[in-house]
Amino acid sequence: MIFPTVQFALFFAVVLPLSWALMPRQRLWRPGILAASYYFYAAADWHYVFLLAGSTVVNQLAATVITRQASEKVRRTALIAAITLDLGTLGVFKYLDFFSDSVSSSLGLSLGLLHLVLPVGVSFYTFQAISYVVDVHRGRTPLAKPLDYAIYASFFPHLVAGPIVRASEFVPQLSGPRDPNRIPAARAFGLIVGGLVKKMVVADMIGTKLVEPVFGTPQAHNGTETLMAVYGYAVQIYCDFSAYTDMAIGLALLLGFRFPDNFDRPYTARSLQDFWRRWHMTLSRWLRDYLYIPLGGNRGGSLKTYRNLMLTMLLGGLWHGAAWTFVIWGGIHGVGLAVERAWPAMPFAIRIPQPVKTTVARIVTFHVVCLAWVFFRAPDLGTAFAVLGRLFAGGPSTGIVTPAIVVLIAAALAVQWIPRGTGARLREAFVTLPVYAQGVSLGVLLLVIAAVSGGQGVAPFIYFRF
Amino acid sequence: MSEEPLTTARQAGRVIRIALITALLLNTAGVVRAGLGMQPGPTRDLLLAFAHPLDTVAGALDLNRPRSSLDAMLGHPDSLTGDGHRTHLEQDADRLQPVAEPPPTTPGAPAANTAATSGTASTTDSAPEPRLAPVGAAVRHATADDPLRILVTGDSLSDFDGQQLARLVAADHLPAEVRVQARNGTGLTQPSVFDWSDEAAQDAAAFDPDVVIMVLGANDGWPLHGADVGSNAWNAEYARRVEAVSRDFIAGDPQRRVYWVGPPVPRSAPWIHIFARINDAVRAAVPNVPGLRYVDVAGPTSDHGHYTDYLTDAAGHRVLARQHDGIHFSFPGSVFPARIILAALRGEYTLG
Repeated sequence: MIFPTVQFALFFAVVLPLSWALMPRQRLWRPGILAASYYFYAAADWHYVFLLAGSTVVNQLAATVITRQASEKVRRTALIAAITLDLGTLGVFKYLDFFSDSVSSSLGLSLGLLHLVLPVGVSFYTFQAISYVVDVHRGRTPLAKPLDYAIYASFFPHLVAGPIVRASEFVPQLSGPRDPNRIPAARAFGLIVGGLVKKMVVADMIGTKLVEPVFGTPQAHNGTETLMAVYGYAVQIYCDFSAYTDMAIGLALLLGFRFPDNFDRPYTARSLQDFWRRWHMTLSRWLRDYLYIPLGGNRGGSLKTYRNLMLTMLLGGLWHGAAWTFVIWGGIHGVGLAVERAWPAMPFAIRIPQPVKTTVARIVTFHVVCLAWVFFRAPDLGTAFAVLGRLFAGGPSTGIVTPAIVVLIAAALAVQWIPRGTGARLREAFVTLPVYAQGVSLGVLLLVIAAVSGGQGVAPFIYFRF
Repeated sequence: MSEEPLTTARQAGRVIRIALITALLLNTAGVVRAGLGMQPGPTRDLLLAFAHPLDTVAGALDLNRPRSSLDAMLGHPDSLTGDGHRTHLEQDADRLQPVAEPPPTTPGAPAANTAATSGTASTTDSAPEPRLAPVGAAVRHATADDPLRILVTGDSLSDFDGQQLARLVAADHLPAEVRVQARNGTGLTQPSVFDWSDEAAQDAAAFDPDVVIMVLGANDGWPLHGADVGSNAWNAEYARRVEAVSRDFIAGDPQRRVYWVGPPVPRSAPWIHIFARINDAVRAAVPNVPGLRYVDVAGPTSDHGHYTDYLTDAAGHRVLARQHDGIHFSFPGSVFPARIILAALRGEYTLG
């Protein structure tokens, strides 16, 4: 069940009023929202409900031991056991067959393969589970009640593809009934409708009409088409992923809960460091707090800082999947971050006037990100290098770069430069409308989105595979 | 965040209800289509039981006009129709009859009818079936100056197969142009959702391919005229639809060929049974349409008839050939059906 479908609309149309009806009776609301979340997850594949439940039980047990035991040795053992089980689960489902097959191929052995299907959302809820037990161990998060932790782990808006919400951000919101008189509905509607536009109009259209043909058969396309496909993928993955998390945040707001933001106009970034403060912010924070800083962060001198940056980004790449393309994607970002850090001290660093410097920095950052996206998108290294090789190729046009596609890409990039207050002003204007006008205008918008997308169905979200 | 305008949950719920009702009333045909595309089950039944009568009412009140106008304005050829009309694929009972090879056309007679551009089926009683080359004869010698035009189309199964076929053609510098046009979520069992009969006629006119590679079947687990999947009646009707669509592709070019690629062996039930019957139906259709060829990818990409995730390529490397759903090929795995398709083409065409 994915957000932009009739099935989900029906599901949410039932869950939302039921949730608010039960909210004053917390003893009913808690199992109710838990059941709804598990139903949502079971709609994808009911087998993996047991995995989610098992993960919940194991991590809550570990957190309980960590909280109640005085012995640091026992606490640490419980923490390591939980993290090992979490990463082990991820490893079995995500990497075991790849590793087994690689070993079989290279050593001529015949290792068995499990043929496991990757459970939807496993990467996201595993990261949340790890953040919970680590924060409990660090004393930054108190032990949650079992039912509260189960709700946090499975809450359907963020369950499948984030944002990666921390227990310290979510569990306190479960301490009592949410206030039904303080719902930022205009913001929620803006996020949901904006997400639908990003996904169904922009991402799917650019992906289908431009990116897939070029990355499918790079040899068939000239330099202009290839370059547009590279820019197109930058827009596609941003619109696809941010659409999902925007909708997740909006749905949570309607249910009375706040999630952290996950994107902040990433293609306006002036550096890769700035980019990672704006792109998939909840993953960036996770990698920083649970990987980069424990590795030593920037506390051990320049070389160790560069090493830690590289390791963090390489592992961040591998989190997406067991493939060299993801390793190179992480490597490009790791090297870029290290170069940025070292740049001011370099003797040949050019001194550029500030306004020009900012513009150049933005252009360079965007293109480094685009270069990395080529590896992220390509199914294999051969395709990635073929795409890069075609960037300067001549030859006839196949006609896939239409004015509509160019306008979509340009508009999606230009929207990131709209001043911050614009959305707030629109929302203020929206809430002044009568209720029926608000509803009808949203309904008409839904119709237009459905028409523009051509009724071809919704392509799976890119991040569902991670 | 604190500056956000706030409302009550009750008011937000009211806005949502009005929005959904508005969108539903203005787009009932779209909701019916979405319902038809859902997996069988109580949710689908409930939705369709509610949406069908609503669509009838909306049609009578002209509430679907805004959506139709938008479709027309946006140039979507397959605009929604909620009028319950029978599609071309359902109407063409005359095409149930197997067609024997017709006599040669008289010199000077008009050329065979060209593919309709209006999107209507193009074979009629008065227009004789164009003479086709005998099965197995080499129909064309493709060269760099006159490359073979290949259209790969069908459902989502066709996308990666087509892309890999294009890669193979490019890698071997074969004199062929491959065009891939996947129509995700389509099939032969739901022509009210997507009518391949219309699509075939339009594609034939738009692209004028020498060869059509049709990869279809992933969405066809539906009853046909009340007959359950896999029954003899279902098989006969499915075969008839394969014939009808093939004729629509071939109409207008007696030399055109349709290579119909059946779905692969899937991981789990009920698809194992469904896909096997689809392959049977396509096989059964072949003798009735000169120019239609069946390409079996199920057998060669299985493990002795059973599903396998991994396949071994010519170099001895094991390739994760299937996607998580146990139905689609992965992108690297799609090279296997693509090679099978290319081998089939080489059996009839001289490439280079």
